[in-house]
Amino acid sequence: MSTKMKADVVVIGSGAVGSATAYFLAKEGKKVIVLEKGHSIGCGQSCRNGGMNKIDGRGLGELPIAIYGLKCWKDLSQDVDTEYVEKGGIRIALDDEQQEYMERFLPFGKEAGLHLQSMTGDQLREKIPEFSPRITGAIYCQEESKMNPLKTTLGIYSAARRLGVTYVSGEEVCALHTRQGRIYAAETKNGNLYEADQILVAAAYGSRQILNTVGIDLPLYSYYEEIFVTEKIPKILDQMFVSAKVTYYGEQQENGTILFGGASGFGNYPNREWYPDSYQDRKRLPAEARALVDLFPCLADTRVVRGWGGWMDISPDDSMMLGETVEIPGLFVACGFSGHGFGVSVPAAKVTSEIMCGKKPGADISHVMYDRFSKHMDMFTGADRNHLINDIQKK
Amino acid sequence: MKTYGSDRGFSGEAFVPKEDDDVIICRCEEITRGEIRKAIYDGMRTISEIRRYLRPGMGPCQGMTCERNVRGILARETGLPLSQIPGYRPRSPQRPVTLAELGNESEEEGGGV
Repeated sequence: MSTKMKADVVVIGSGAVGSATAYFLAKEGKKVIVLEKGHSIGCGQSCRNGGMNKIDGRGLGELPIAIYGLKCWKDLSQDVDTEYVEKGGIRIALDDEQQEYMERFLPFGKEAGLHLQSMTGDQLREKIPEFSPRITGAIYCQEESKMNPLKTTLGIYSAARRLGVTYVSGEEVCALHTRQGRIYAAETKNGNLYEADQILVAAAYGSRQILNTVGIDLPLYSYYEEIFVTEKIPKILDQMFVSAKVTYYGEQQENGTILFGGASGFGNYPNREWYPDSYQDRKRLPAEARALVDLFPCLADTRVVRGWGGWMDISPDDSMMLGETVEIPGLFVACGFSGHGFGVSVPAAKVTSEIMCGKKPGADISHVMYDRFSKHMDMFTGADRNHLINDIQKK
Repeated sequence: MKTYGSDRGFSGEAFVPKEDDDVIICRCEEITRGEIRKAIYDGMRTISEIRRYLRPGMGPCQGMTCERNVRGILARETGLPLSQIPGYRPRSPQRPVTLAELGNESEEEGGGV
C-alpha cells in the first residue's frame, strides 16, 4: 500500500546535517519531511564520530564554513543540549617533519581569523602534563571545540519535531523524479512518493546512488574507520587533539569518557557489501589502544568500554560538497564530509537552509560546491589517509 | 499497524508523569524510568535512540543490567510486543579491558587476542 505525501522540502538523511537543515528550514516556516532509510535517526556518521570540530588542517575551502560554525554552534546550543565546549584543539607532532607539515597551515588559518599558536613539546606539557614526553611539538587552535555527537544529533531531531518537521524512518529513497526539468519527488523502496519543491540529499555515501537516478554523479569513495570510548575518568583534558596528518583524533567528553579513533591502516576498505557497519577488525582496537597510551602514558590502566566503526564518504579533496545542483533546480546536496563533518554539520546545515530560502549564505561556499571536480579534472590529490598508527611506535 | 520505529508522528498528547518515574533503571548512568519515558515522548522510538540520547547501557556493564527493562518500557509506551524490540548492539570488547591489556598483542606474558 503506497502513500503520497507533499511538503515544501524533503530532506533525505536524518543525520546532523539533514536534521539541522530541517530544523533551520522549519524555523523559517517551511513544511519539511525527513526520510531516513535506517530504523533509527542519525544512525550513520552522526552517532559514530569523535565529537569534535577540528578547524586547523581542514581543506581550505571548508574554512569559511568552519568559522561560521563558531556562531552557529553557540546559537544552536541555546535550544539543544550539545555539550559544546570551545576550549581549543591541539595538533600533535612527533618529529620535526610533522611540525613543519603542520606549520604550513598557519598563514591560511591566521588569515581566516583563527588564533593559532605553535609550541614545543615542553611548552605543551607545561599546560597539559599528561601528554607523552615523545611529543616534540604542537599547534594550538583556540577556536576548536568538542561536543556530544549523540545528544546533539538526537537533540536537533527532537527540536525539529517540536517545530513540526515530520520524520519517517525505515524509508529508503530509491529514486528522485523531475518534472519539466525541476525536482519533483523522492520515491522510496516501500513504494511511497514524497513530493516537494525542494529536495536535499544529505545521505552520505548513499547520496551518490540517489543522485545517479537523475544523472548526477559525485566522486565519493567509501572508507571505514574505527573508534572506541573509555570508562569515565576524572578530567585530564579540555581540548580535542589530532595527529599532525590527522590520522587519529580524540577528546575527553564532558561526562569524563575519552573518545579516540583513527586510521590504522588495517582493513580500511573492506567490501562494503559484505561488511555491515558493525564491523570491528580485531587488529584495529589493539593498535588504537597502543596509540592512545603512547600519547597519554597515564591512561594505561584506563579501561576501554566499547569500540565501533563507521563508513565515511570521502571526496577527492577531503572537503564537503554543497549547493543547489545546476542540472536540476530545486535539488540540493550536502555530503562528502570526508570523516570530519560533525564539527561543521551545523554551519553547513545553516548555509544550506539559507540558500534553500533564497538568502545569501552566511559563509562563502564557493570552494565547496558539489560540482568543482567536474570543472577541472585533476589527478587525485586527496590527503594520504593511510598513515599507520604504528608510525608512533617508532621508538 | 505499528511497526518498529515507524511511529514518528507527533501525538500531541502531553507527557503524563507516573508514580514510578523515579525508579532507577540504568544503575551505571543513574537513569530513571521517568527519564526514559520522557525521552520516548521526545521522539526516541528505538532502543538505539534512547541509548544515545540518555546513555542507558553505555556504562561499564554495557546494558547487562538494564537492557531488558529499557526494552520493556519502550514496548509498553509504543504498544509493540517485546519480541519486536531488539536489544543493544553488542560490540568488542565484551567487558571493559584496560588500554595496556588491549594493546598487548605479544605472544608472551599472556598477551594476544
